[in-house]
Amino acid sequence: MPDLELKALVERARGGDDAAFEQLYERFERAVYGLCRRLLTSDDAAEDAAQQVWLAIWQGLSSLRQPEAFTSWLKQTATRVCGRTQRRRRWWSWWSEVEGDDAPDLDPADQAPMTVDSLARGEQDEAVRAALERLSPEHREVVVLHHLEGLGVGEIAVTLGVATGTVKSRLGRARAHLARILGPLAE
Amino acid sequence: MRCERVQTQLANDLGAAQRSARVAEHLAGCAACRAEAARLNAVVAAVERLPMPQVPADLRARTFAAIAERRQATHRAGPVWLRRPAFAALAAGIAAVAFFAGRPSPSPMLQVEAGSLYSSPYAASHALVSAGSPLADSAALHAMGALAEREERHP
Ligand SMILES: [Zn+2]
Repeated sequence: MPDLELKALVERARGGDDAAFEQLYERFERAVYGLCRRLLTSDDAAEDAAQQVWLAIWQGLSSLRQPEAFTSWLKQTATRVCGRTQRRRRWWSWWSEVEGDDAPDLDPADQAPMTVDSLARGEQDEAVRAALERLSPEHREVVVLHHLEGLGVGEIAVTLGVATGTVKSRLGRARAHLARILGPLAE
Repeated sequence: MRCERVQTQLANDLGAAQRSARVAEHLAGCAACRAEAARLNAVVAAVERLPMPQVPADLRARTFAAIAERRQATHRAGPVWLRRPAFAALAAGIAAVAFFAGRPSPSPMLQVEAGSLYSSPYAASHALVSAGSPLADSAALHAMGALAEREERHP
């Protein structure tokens, strides 16, 4: 969708046009769900989060000043909703002292690496996804935003409300963890 | 340069590290660090080519049902607040966007409040997102709203 067309659509939706809002939903459903699913570790959590994101977008749209900022606003809202979900789950699992469906936050170095050398493409993707889910939420977040959403380190820092240096060091440690979890990848 | 330092640099910023002359010099003489660089390159490439997750079939219906529910709730909750001037001023100041900018047509007064309060969409979305959190300021406003209603019934 060309930028001008998207801007017009956002303006119409902002003015209360339900059909325009539905078109926005169609356009970004996959992007929002995909981001939530990658940030979180279960389909159910991602579905709940995506729903919350759209509710926030629907309610916030009337006060969106710059329609051209819609896409980054969407990503930022999704990141914040998912961050909140993670923190809540962490509290809950600490409180109830039972293991939920969250990925255990173990040091990947303690675990045997998955050797994905000889795996087919689909299996390799599955191994990489599983490795991402073994990262801590903070590490997964920066990897997803940088390597899958294509955000720069500065944009990620703004989105998360942390220093640029923090983003850089999290990214470094996250990539090193991933490399250890995955073992020698096929060349 | 020590291996540990080289490998940290590689993980932190593969591209920049590989462009650095000092790192290149180290890599030329160190097979372990060369292997680590190759491993990191492969990991990043594998992450970046992950396919998009499949959207669940019922997401759209669930989302629009939730929006319809919120729209109704906003219509019901709105006017009660505004009947009491003291609370109305507070509410308009703090929770304008979260509670009253219920689309499609928020009242002009609230649009002005919302506009001046949340000058950036990020601030607005943050306020909205925090409406879902049980301990956010919106929860306090809910409690105050209930109090206002009770006072109205039993002055
Ligand atoms: Zn070395």
